[in-house]
Amino acid sequence: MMTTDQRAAMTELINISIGVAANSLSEIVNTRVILKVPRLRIFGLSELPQLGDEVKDSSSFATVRQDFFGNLSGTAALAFPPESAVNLISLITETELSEENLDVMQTGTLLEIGNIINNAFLGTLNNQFDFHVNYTLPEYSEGSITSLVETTLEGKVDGLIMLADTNISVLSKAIEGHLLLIFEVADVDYLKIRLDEMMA
Amino acid sequence: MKKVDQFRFRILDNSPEGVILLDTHYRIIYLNRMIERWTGFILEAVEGQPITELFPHMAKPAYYNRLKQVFENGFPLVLSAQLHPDFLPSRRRGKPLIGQTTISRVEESDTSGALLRISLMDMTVSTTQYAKIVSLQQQTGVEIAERKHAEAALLKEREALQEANAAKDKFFSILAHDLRGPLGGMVSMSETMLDQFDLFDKDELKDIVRIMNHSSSQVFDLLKNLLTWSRLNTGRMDWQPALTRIKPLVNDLAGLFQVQIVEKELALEISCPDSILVYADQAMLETVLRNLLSNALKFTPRGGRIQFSCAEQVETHQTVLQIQDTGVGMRPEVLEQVFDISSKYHTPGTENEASSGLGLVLVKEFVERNQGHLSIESEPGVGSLFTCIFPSSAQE
Repeated sequence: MMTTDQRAAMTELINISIGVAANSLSEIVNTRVILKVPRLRIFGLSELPQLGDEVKDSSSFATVRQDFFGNLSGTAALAFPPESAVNLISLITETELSEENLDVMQTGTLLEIGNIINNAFLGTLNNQFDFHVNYTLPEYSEGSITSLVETTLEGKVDGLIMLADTNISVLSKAIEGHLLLIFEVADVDYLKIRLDEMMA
Repeated sequence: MKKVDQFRFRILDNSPEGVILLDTHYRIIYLNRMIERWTGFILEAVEGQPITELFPHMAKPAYYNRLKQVFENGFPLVLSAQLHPDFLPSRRRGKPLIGQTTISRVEESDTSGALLRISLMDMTVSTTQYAKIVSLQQQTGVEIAERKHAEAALLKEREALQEANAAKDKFFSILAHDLRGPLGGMVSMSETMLDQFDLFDKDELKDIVRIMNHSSSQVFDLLKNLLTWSRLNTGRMDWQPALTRIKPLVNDLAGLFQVQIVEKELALEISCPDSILVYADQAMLETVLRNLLSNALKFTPRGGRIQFSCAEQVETHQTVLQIQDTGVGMRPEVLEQVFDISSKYHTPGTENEASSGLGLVLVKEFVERNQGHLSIESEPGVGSLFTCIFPSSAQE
């Protein structure tokens, strides 16, 4: 797992990135968007059931994932419970959505929002550590968070999942989601070294 | 500007997406056939031009900074159709194209190191098809709801019809059986009396007249109930509630039933303070009490006891009336159907008194029309307790 200092460093990086993401989102939707990450929790692959309980996992989470590979490889994913996804799109696009099934236009909007938040986080990591990494295009899917983690770490001995609860406030309304960072063991060790360097 | 060999980009012409390639100065290096078709720009005409000349809005900081970030950091960018409908203004078969744009950096050794790839994915068909499916689903939903509504109305109508049929059957059953018995008895008695009048002495004649009087009282009671029930079912029954003193009403009824009480050697005990009031329609209240008393008299064997009591519950503003007998009682399965007009359960009294089963149906109906409540406790061989609760004053 991670030491207290490493967790603190990671939390700081996430908070910086969230600020960047909030500015980008505000600019795009022409309204003030506030992003907050109230807490960061870390789980091992064997603790997946606990993670599922924490997020009240269901098969209908709307997820935007982006993989990155290079010095540091992993997956960043933003996951919303279905009602949060609908509310977020309603607020951002100022349209009334009553149904929980999102059409292609709406999933496209969620894809863009997820892309902005994921990019902000990955950009912050990149700026801090000067990683040389490549990024895949963002991908939208619907399913459970645990299945997302399982498929990402399929065939890997162990992995680490950082779960950051994410509150997005648009027009005084709060929407809850989860930012997930999924790494396999070797990458976790590398990340820890860089975090230690950051705190030194 | 260095001339770029476009031959290797021709593979992009087979892509279902529209693709534009830019160099690091945002100049157009290539655009594929789909982009030519959707935007109307021709590669030969625009090659080497900055993209901002074709689409000036891309020079605005909101877009320019994001394009720059893709070049500098390699972060792919998604511009959704909903938030950026006019990022790459395009038309498909004469109509605006709904498209999602993806922008990514492509490492390129032949140029100055990297290219910017702008891809436009056409979502027009999937969006309109989805809208059609949703509309169809909604339409189907409305049709299903309408059909269910019609089915429910039909079911209600059918139930009302069945109820009306049951009421009609009951009416004819009463006419055919319950009136026939006592009337037949009277006809037969009067014929005998007429044929052999001189043969009877005074006491015998008195007995015959007494039996005829008893039968005619029963017929009269039945006819009163039938008439009331008919008025009730045809909506001709007025409801005029008023405060009514119970004790005089019960005493009057006890007087009416005096002959039967004496004949069956029954004990009727009335325990009702003078002050007890009920807020109800007087005619309906009288029908309720008459039927409950008549019922108790019919089904209590000779020598039995009937108790009538009443009390006011001050805190709930209610009056409780109870009639308890030491009669034959009812089995649970009979008790369940005692208010069902179509029920076949009805039996004559302990001395073959006529009983149509109509009385209790009226009792329940009238108690409830007066904001009251009726309950029955009964045990075969032990007796029955009927409890009616009425308002004791006008309710606000």
